[in-house]
Amino acid sequence: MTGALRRRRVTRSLPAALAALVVLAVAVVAVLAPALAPYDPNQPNLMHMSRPPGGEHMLGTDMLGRDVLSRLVYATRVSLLVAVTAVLINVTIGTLLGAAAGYFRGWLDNVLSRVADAFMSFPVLPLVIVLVALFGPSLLNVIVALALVGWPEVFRLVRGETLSVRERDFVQAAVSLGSRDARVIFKHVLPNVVAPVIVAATFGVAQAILTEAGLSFLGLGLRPPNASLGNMLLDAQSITVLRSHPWLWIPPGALIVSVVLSVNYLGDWLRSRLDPRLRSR
Amino acid sequence: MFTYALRRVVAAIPLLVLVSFMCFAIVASLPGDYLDLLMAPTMSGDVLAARRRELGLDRPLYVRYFMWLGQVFQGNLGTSVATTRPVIDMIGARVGATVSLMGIGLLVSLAIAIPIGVITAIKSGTWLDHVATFFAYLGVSVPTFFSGLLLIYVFSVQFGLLPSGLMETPGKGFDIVDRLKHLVLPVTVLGFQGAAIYTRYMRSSMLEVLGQDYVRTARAKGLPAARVYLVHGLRNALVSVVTLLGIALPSLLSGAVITEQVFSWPGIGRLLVDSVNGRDFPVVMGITMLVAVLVVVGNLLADLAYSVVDPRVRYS
Repeated sequence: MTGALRRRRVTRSLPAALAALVVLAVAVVAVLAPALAPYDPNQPNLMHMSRPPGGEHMLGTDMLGRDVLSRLVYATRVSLLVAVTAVLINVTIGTLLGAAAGYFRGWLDNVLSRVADAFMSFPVLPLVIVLVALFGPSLLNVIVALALVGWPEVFRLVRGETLSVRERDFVQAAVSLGSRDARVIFKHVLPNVVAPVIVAATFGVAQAILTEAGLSFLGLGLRPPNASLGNMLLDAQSITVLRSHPWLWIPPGALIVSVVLSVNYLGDWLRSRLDPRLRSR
Repeated sequence: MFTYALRRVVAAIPLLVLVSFMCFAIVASLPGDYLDLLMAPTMSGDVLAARRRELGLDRPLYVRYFMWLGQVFQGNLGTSVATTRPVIDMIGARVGATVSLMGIGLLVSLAIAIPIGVITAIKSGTWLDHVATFFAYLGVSVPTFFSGLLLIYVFSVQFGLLPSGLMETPGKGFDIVDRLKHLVLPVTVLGFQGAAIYTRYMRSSMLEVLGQDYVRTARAKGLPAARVYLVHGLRNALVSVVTLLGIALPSLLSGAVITEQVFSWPGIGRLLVDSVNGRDFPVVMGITMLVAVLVVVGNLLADLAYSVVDPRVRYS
């Protein structure tokens, strides 16, 4: 390996390794939240209101005396749960519909493509806001709304890949051997579109975390007293909190940034690994 | 050109129909109707039924859809439940604030993104490229509410240099310096986020152009590097930035909703959030329709502009 090549490997891999570490740590925190949180995240303590960080409460307490660290741990759990579930749903829908549209083409492709275009041309946040406004804000509805706005991107990707894969010899061979359509799609087409879907799903998680945070910040996500990374910043809209209680809003904000940044870097690294067409860049 | 434009316009219609039907279905599915709001509880069932017939509320759903659509075309989006003012007036009063914020934000992000995108494409793989890549990822990873709050915390609360919100100092009347001061922080938030997105587009577009044969030819002819990059490279790379303006609109609108909330900016985004919280559905749907039309028209204009700068797309 030449020096230049090794240097390039390192400059690409080092941030990715750091990013992977952050994502892993956050995932562990999310899974083990009940064991890690020092206090009950929703239990007010009138004796310990608005304490700055230090002492019994490492990150201080909020206006109701709830432990900020514990709330942060549980908020991470909720935000990840929402984002990952929503992406799993939209990847499943997008992949199945995309493969069907690309494989069967014709009117099915036309209809699905138009619907996907309609969804994609609409701004994400206003659309999610309207959806949540209609269904009412709840954990499940936020997940559904995020999945609804996320599927068209996966759909387009899988459809495009399927259109080209279906013309390849091994697929044509399977068809001429008399394989059923479902078998051809699942055995021959889909394995060839997995890589770009994984990359898209990774970026999708980052986007979903951000959208959920934005929604909760507007007071339209998870309802209090439950904490999510976005609604923990809600209080900072009051100038008192913003000015004199920075420990209430800087930690959740910084956490969102580091998680989303790490997931994005991970997606970038995955793309450079999984997509040979981009290797040279 | 004309047939191409016509084809694009026709293709946009199903999208508008889909969105408008969605809006209508939502308004129509709400419990209770327009009459329940206006009528006194003492009114008898017969009178109500007569009024209902008069307003067409007893007709089937699809008939009412067309009646509603006719109203929308005449600029009647209904009446706000909360303020009893016409929805169209409420939106009209807010449009200017949002457009000026988004427009200036877009200009700022392009002014940052185009030069940086070009330079990082030329210097691709160097430390400069990696630093720019980091900032680009940071820009798309920082929620606008957090960057907004941080800016307010530093520049308004700690140093008292800039106002923390609103479009102008209340009661001061129109003052251009005052207006500009209020613009600085929200435009910074939107501009940073936009610049992060467009830098990546600009960089890959430029990289693609630099790999073309005509660029190699220009280099082989011995043209100065600046001429190769600016005339052969940038001019062609800018072509794809035109399409970018089409996709910029939705992301700008998403960014504006939260930015307006953080900076108490009296625009459409805040009106949307306030209306959702107040369950004022006629206003919510009016804004949804407006956004849909804006986005469709924006995409259409971008498509047409693209076909002007790159005639090849008309024939593919």
